[in-house]
Amino acid sequence: MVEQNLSIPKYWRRTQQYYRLTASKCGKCGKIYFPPRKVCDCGNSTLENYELPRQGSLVSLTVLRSVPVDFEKQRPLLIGVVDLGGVKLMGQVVDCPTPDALKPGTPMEVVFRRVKEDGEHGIIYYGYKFRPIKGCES
Amino acid sequence: MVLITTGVYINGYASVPPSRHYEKGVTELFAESTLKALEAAGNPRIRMIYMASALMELTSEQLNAGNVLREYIGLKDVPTMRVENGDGSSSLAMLAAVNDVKLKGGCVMVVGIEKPHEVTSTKLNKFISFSTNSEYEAFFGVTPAAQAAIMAREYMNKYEYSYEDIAVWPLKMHERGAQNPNAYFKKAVKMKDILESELVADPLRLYDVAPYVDGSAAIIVCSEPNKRDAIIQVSGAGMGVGSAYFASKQTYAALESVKPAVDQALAESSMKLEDIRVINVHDTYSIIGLMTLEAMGFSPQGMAPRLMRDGAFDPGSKVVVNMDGGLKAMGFPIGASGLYQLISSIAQLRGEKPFESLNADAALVHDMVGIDQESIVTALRRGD
Amino acid sequence: MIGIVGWGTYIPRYRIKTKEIAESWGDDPLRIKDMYLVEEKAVGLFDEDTVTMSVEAGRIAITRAGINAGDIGAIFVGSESKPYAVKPISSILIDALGASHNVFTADLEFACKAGSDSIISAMGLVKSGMIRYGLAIGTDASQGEPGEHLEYSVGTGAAAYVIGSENVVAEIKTVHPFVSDTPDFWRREGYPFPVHGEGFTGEPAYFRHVVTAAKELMSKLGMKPTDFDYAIFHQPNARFPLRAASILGFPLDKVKDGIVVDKIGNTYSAAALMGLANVLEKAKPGAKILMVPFGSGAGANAFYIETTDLITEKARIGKTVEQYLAEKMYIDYSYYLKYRKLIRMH
Repeated sequence: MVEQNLSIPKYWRRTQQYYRLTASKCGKCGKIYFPPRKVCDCGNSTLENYELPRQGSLVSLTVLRSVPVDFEKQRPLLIGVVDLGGVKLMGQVVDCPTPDALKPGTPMEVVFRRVKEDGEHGIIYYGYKFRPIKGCES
Repeated sequence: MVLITTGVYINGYASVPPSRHYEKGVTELFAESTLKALEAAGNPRIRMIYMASALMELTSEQLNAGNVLREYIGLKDVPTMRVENGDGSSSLAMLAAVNDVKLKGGCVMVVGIEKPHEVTSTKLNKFISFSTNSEYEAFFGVTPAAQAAIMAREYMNKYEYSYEDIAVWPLKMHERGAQNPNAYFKKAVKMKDILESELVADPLRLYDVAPYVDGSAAIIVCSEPNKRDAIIQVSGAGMGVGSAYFASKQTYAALESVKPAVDQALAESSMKLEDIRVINVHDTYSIIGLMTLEAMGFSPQGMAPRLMRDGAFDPGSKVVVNMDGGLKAMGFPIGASGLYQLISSIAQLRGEKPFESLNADAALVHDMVGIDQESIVTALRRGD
Repeated sequence: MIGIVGWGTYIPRYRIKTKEIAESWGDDPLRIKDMYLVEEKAVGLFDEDTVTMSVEAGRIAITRAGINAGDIGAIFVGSESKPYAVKPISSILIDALGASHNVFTADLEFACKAGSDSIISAMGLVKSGMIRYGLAIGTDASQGEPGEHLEYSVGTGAAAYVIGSENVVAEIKTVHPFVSDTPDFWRREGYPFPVHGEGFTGEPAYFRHVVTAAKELMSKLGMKPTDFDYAIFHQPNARFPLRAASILGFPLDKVKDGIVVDKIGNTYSAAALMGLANVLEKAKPGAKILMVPFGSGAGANAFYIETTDLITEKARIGKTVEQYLAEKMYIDYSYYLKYRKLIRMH
């Protein structure tokens, strides 16, 4: 069989996070963690699933031109930090090729997109990305 | 300052000039640094090898490299502890070596080895991205450069600096590199070159990024000194952590992992910050170099670019930073980078070429994992 | 009463003007516009596909329906441009939408008719009492061979419908199919682009099946065009639905809200369903709607739909087609080609 470079089990285990942003919430102190955690900073190890809100605001942004090989054809990548209801995530910002108008506080929404694929024959990875709610020029 | 005998002495050291060594593989590089270091130490019996590398398995496709390498140089019955801690591998290996020597005495060898140029640049970018959170950062194409860029942006916004202000770092580093025959990049640069260089991850440009180099560096660490003068000891070490997920950091405009590491290294050494004359910081990116000065306590928050510009850390000052040119001018051999900086610090304390003008007896070496995921600081002392 | 409980659509933000494409190939942009009446089309770049669009449209449909994803008993997805020839979109939706594992699922193919076939499949399971709610989706990001005329009209989009018997906002009163073996347009296994019979796609295919299905439906119901408030037809371009309306006797004002192809191109399995969404977002209660999706190969399903009192409130929840049409960013042809061919650039 042709070589597969992307692991299937490693991705499949995380689809709750990649598709639905399922975080952990501490049953004792209420702190929310994304990526999910097994043990809270307060010491409690009973954490529940908690889906992050799909809207938030931009915190910071950079245009990454020197990208890893599996993103070479997607360059440049806009890498941003987005705040979703108090939890900050780092990921790709899309639908905005010239992000000059984007600034801290710009309302952002979570979108479901292709992240990468394993050549022409292999698995396609899907996951969350972010885009400005009102569009690129706002 | 009280002179304390710690029982961990640097008896020999050597490094391969950092470069793109297409003609040398891990075996050749290993042999070059270790055999020279062993000779400098008087060929003592080595009880253990601590091998630091971030990418050995990925670039050179060799597990249990220790066995292959030790056989190549004819060492028998010497186990190798392979230490991987991203670009902080070297200092962690040194930490393990120091603990070993303190406990069991004798001599051990710490060697860093890295061959990034075994693979193409974008492939290397992929491997380097493994230093970020694999499932939640690298998965999306995030790299340490993107994280450093966001720190630069937030730092510039917070303290109202322009890009030219923080470009003082590469300017200064290359000034130093031009005076260092061991540097990878031996030319001074003009501000114009820096400002016009290509964007890597805005606002960071080519000159803000330490270039990847192949390298190997080895240090022989023993419980008894083999010299009478300019004895160098490892007096202490410390470790601090940041976040394993960049977005969770408390602030993007300052480093969190550095200070605990500095405090612990100084405490173990019974030293204070004022005792330190020489520092070598892990400037993978210019902004990291600047922020480390602040995090270590040598500059007030937000002042490092100004102080650097005014020459506050230039050779001849009370505290000299990265006199060898830093990772910027020396090149960045990733998992081996800490060993190179330890060796630079040792040479600086001993006043060896090209550091003759320095008169220092205590140094701090800062090593970092990724972008503020973890810092390890090693304190070195000179005693006669 | 069986029918639509909620709906959602998705249209990517990027647009390319047909003029832009025409100029690259030396075609007269005015003549192209006149032929197809498509000004610009929606484009999904390298990170959007029929899976991602199904998720976005599906999420809105579930919110609009006011149900829990766990209440869905079936997921059917119709598409002719799936990223996997073998591996269903419907199973990815289970995880992406948070549906239960005890769901009937399948991906359907019948060219542009498959979205409506998904609706019919869901209706059957609801009517038989096997499920409470079904999610039916039409989604396409179809392939246009560069330099060939399909490129002027092929668009990108998805439309999702929650079908049930509780809180129905638009009752699907009757569906009437008309299908035959008519090879007007196809894509061979392993070949990147569809191929078609040019003029043969008109009378023997589109018009025969759309008009016959519509006429047979109206005859069965004893209804005339004047009895309907809206008529929505499959829209490979804007000329075809306008001509079908004319043949059947529907005036322009009953047809125009159901046509979106002029702004986003032909969204294939989502096309008529997208026109329907636009209508549902504007219609008053008690509106009588004729919808005739068509798929090459060939066949048409004629739907008779009537809105209930619940429609107005539902229209307001969630993004509307008009909102999608207003969010756009233009790209040029080289950018379009780079990203549309990205999949093949390994």
